[in-house]
Amino acid sequence: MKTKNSYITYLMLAPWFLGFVVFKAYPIIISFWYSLMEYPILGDPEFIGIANYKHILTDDPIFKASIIGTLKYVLIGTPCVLIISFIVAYVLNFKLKGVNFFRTIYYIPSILGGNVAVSILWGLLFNINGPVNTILNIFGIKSIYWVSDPTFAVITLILLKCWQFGSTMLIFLAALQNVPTSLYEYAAIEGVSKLRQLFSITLPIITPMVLFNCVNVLVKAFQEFNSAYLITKGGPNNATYFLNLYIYDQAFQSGNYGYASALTWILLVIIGILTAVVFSSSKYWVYYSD
Amino acid sequence: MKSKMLSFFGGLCATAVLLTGCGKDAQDVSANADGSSNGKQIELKFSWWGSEDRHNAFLKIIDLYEKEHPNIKISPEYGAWTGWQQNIITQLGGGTEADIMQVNYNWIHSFGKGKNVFYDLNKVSDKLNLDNWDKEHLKSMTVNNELAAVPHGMNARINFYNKPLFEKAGIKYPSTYKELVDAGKIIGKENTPTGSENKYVFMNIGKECPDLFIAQMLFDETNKVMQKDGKVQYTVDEVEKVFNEYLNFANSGAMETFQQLDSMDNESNPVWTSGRGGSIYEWANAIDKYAGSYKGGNAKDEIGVASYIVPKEGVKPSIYVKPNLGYAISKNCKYPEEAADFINFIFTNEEAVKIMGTSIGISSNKVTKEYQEKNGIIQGLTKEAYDMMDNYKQVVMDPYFEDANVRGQRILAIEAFRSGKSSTREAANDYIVRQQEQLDKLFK
Amino acid sequence: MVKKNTINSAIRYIILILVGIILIYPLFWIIGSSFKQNIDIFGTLNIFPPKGRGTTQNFGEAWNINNRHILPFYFLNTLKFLVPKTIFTIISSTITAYVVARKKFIGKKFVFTMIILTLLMPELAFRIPLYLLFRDLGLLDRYASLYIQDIFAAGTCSFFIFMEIQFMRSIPRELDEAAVMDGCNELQTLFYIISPILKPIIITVGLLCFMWGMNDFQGPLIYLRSPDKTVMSMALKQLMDGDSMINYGKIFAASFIALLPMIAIFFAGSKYFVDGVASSGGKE
Repeated sequence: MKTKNSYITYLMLAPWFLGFVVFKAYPIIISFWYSLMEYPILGDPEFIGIANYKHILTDDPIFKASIIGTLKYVLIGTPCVLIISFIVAYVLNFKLKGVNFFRTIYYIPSILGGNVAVSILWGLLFNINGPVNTILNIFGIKSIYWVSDPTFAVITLILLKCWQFGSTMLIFLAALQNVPTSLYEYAAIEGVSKLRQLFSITLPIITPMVLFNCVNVLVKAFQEFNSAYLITKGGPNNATYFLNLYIYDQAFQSGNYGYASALTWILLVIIGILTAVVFSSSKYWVYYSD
Repeated sequence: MKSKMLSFFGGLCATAVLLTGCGKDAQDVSANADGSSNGKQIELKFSWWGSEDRHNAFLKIIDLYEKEHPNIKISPEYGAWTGWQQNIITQLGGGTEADIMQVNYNWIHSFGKGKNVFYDLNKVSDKLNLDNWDKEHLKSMTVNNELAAVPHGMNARINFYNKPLFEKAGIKYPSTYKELVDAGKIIGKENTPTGSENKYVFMNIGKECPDLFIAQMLFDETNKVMQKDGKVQYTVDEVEKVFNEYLNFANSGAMETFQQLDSMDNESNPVWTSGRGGSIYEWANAIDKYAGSYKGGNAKDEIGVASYIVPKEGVKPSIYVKPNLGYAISKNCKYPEEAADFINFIFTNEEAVKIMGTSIGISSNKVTKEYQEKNGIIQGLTKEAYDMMDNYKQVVMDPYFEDANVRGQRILAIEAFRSGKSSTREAANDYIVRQQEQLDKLFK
Repeated sequence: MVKKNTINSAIRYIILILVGIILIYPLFWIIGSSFKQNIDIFGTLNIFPPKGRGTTQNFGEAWNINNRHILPFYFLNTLKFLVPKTIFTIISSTITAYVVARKKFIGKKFVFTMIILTLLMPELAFRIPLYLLFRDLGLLDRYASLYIQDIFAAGTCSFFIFMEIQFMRSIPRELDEAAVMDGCNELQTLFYIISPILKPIIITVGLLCFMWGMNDFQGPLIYLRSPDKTVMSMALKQLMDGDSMINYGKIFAASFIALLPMIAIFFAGSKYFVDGVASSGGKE
């Protein structure tokens, strides 16, 4: 019985392993090799050791601006998106008439995704004489240079990210659906308040999915490309020139594939460290039923 | 259950093997066919980017060519500009690029960093008549003594202006920097920092436009081009002076300040379409789209072509021009002669030139230009723009002028002083030093 | 009590509707703008075109997207890779996630770590090595290039595998143990016991995979080359070339037509959430 089972276990894992080796491990190893080279995409590669890394870390002002912008975006954006998506998912999990309709509506911003209309609209909203500033003026707040001020440019993009909370919300929703209703019924009989129920029943049960969303939003934020590319074009003064944009430009505009690979690896290490922090903290707050 | 499972995975693996198997077979077959078919059935791939007009024109030209050359089949690959460069870089990296490619000027030099990554067209000059081009123009497409591509035509930024705006203000279109500032004081009299009805004498739309405008200012003031033999030619003082002048244009109300720029950075910019922008600085072959968007396309005759604004009265500048695009042959092309013949056909077949119409602009190829003129293809504003261009001495842009990294540093410096992040002095220094650093990487 | 409930739910609905308007406004703006002339689109957040200037011409132009094919042609092309992609993603991710979440085997820690690691990988820099690999496998210009990775739980599957693992870990283990006692093997357990509980998450996987695949533009652009294989996302981008005046009204009309099936699919899919697992019988 035991041996038969583990045989099937490995067999079930076999496609993943094959895919991992061919489509993931191989390119990643190759790209590390490239990162050690002066590798003009269309020329002859030349081995230069860690020179790319050294240049990036010590003598590249664009990288510096880029990493600062990326970190701002990630560290502010991630918690915002998580909190908003959870609240919306929580509300949409109520047994209300027509809730399915609202779920669809609330997901629409994410369906629109990187549609050109979204970037145009976002530009309009945050234009210097756009409606957002008009509203601020009503409350006596001076107009903000949303797109041309470096600090606010990042915030403009974070707001867009928050607006497109759909996928994260959907995953929370699926998790909430999985909380047995019997638990709530039991709690209600015991007279536990809704708020207490949220913190002592709902949240603990879905912590595995909170962890998932947390890691995922973090990783996605690090790899943000579209919004910065379309709306702020990396500006002003490189404030929103996120690392992924820089990598893209180096690889596909300038054809410096070696340099782009080194940048990728630095990005990978930074994401890795932050993810490891999240994971190692997870043993204090994530509850698994197994 | 177990056997079900096995057959399922078996199926998966088989699918995968099948899929990859098919691909290999197909490739082998085509390779065999290629090897043994000299003078028989030949397939050439032709790739280009562009608008719908261009797609339709090229597809018709291909039909026409295939009719005349029944043994040659030309397979098209086309798309929009967005993402196209990445596409081509990837293909070139993998050796899978099309046999004939429409190419951008900066690719020729930047992709190979001093080496030619395309087929040397000198080798097929018996099929592709190179005498139809100006020697200077071919030189701009030459890398490491190899002719990487032939240009379609030359293009320059031209001033287009909105006549009624100046008529209403009772002034003529400015011709010097001083007049530009003075016009700003009249036309932009009622402007506010955040006004949605602001009017401007001059607009530089997009990120590249201020770069080109400032480069032309520097050229006008110093009589030196941007780069020579990989060295930036300007001093900090010269650049600072121009930056200060540029800043003054914005601060006097003649141009938008950095904060006033609208987020639409193409022909749909509302300042332009609503007629509040006095003039634009755009490519000669781009005027059709700006005229099309201006007041909904219903007021084309309100737009005129103006001469350049110069530092002071009586200066006649030399202007930067660049090949707007070109055609190259892949190094991996098995039939360069036939490919060259097709390129030659695009330029020298009267019917093909007629089909191409206005979708690329005036050609600098003698034969093409003759056909274009004879058939009255280029008319109206586009014609006026090219005529204006021919009024000036033309200087082809340096090979690395538009290199992404080199230009990126210039744009960064320009943004820094315009947004107030740096003083014009600091920005001028960065403009030179940072640009030079990037050039050094290309010339080492 | 009853009154309090009514007020409560009224407040909920009001909040839901207000937030909903903010979220859906852009869609209405896109729809409205597809009835506008180009010049009326910019500089205004108005949904409706100015009086007397509305036009339905954009929809005709969008439907006949170019003079070679009509819009549905490109939609069908998208389905040609997206349907297999979604199916393969669901199957391979669920199987892999199940094994990692529920089974004890040597190397489990390694597998889980690798799944997380591949999730972190910025895909940009792997584009060239993968392109070369696909070239050598003869996959270029084939729809298979866009889903072959999903057959082997690679590509974007790491995301879904991790998601399903996390989800499964919150399902009580007693269920599996009971199944094993009843004489089920792994697969039977997965299909008969776990899958029904997984329904919401499997639907989520399917929906997300489909939506993302629909919007993906880079993959098709690099791998598909024949004009006849052009997919929807590419066809939409082709309307945006800078060489000629961009007709935004047409783009918005085409985007709107392209969005309709997605919204319909999402609406149909999200229905399955309504009561979800709590009443599916798997849990009690």
